[in-house]
Amino acid sequence: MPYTAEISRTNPSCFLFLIDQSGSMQEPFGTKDGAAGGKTKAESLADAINRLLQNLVIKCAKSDGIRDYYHVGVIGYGGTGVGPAFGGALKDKEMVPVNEIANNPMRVEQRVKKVDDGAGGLVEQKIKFPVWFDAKGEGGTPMCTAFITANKLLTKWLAEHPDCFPPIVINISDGESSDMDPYQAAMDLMNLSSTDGQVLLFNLHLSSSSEKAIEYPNDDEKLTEEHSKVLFSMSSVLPEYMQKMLSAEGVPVTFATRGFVFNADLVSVIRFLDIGTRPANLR
Amino acid sequence: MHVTGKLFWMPKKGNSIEEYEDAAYPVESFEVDVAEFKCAVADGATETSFAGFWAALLCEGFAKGYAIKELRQTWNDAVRQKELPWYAEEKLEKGAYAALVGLHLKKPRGKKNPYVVEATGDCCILHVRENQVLSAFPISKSDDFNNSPALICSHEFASVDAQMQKHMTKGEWKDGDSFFLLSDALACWALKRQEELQDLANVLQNVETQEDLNRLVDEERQLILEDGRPSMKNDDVTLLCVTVCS
Repeated sequence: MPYTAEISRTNPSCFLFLIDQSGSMQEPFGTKDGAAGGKTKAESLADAINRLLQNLVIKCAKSDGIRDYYHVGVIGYGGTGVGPAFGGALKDKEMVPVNEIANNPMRVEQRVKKVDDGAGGLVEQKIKFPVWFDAKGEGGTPMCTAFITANKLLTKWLAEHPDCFPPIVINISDGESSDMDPYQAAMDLMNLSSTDGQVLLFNLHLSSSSEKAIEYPNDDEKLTEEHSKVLFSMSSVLPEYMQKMLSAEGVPVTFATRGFVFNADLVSVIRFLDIGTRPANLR
Repeated sequence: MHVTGKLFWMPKKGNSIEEYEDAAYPVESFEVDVAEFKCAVADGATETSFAGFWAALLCEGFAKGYAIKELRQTWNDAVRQKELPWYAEEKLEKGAYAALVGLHLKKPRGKKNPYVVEATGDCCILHVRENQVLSAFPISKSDDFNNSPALICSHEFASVDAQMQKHMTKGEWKDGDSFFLLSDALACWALKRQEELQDLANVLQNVETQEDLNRLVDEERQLILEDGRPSMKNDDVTLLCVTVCS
């Protein structure tokens, strides 16, 4: 049965994030309730990815240090081309074990979050916020090249880890591909596999409007734009363990449900990243 | 009462002995004559930090009657003694979690030999008499195991404590009865074995040495079922066999 391989230090898995860094990412997030706090899409997405990396590190932290259950890559695509998006000591690195991520943030910011004071009110609490990559946005959206780059990276990864829990690729963009039709490149990426199953590709389309998101659809009937139908068609059907996780959170799922969200707001982005990177079989 | 106990354990395949995060109390095999007796097995949650230490505290705490508040204080004091990197500090804030099953053989009352079991999470106890499994607690069917049991946290979080379900049961033992305390992977396998072959009591009673347990667990981890999963999940394994006579 696919997607059941144990994830361990001797058999790690990987996450690869493809991040749109085109000019339109400098526009404000189109949220109904202003949840993005006036930040641009690029800034909000950088926050979400940095938080996700932080959570992954904490997930892999044990009393004796970090266990390298995962390797992680973040590839940016935009006006300056397609390439690794980490900053600081990890600059130009394509795939990095969690241990290296943990010990090499660019900087650790002090941020403030509001927490329940236990008496019906909120108090401000200072938290550490490690940052691995900064927001960026200019030029076009070379999504097709990003998929081709991902293909090269994962082909190499899979040759080195033939029995791994299949890599999960999460592509996050607010627009259409500006280089070529990405469909075939996405299909080629999804056809890569380990002995435990094919690479999973999930697509997240960021909202520029306040319209309701279309989350985890079973088909493309409600998708009105051609571009959104293409993104749907190149999104993997959720494996059984993810269907169960979503179902437990009250999201209606079937065997045809795909890892795709159209017109996502920030809440939807964070949930998508959480679901997409939650371990299936972590040892 | 005369109580003998045999304790065997092994870490997950691929992990070192130092990475074993189950625990038991007493911490080794024993033979005692006592008026009453307590023992426990706990399973520290893999995804939490200092979980093995927390599991060990819970077992000892159960056996010696320490309050949960005291145990939490001990855990917190101990893990915060040295400076930690940012991620280890953050992890500590989330606390350690563990499942626990504890057996209390109480002082005999007349001809009655009562016992009480407390359990939180998916560590299990089996009561065996004359080669028959009389009961399994708190889980009695292999299908009822899942990946998110309610566990005991090293931090006092109101929301976690509200979910923490301590289950209790009681019964009576007779001369020669055995109790098997098992951590979850072994317990899930054991209940399935009993459901399919009804020979579990025999199988467990034949585990007389550490090598016997190693052999059994290795075989079952390697045996792949029709659904592609191993017969026994690769996890830390702990088996405490307690036999009691008046």
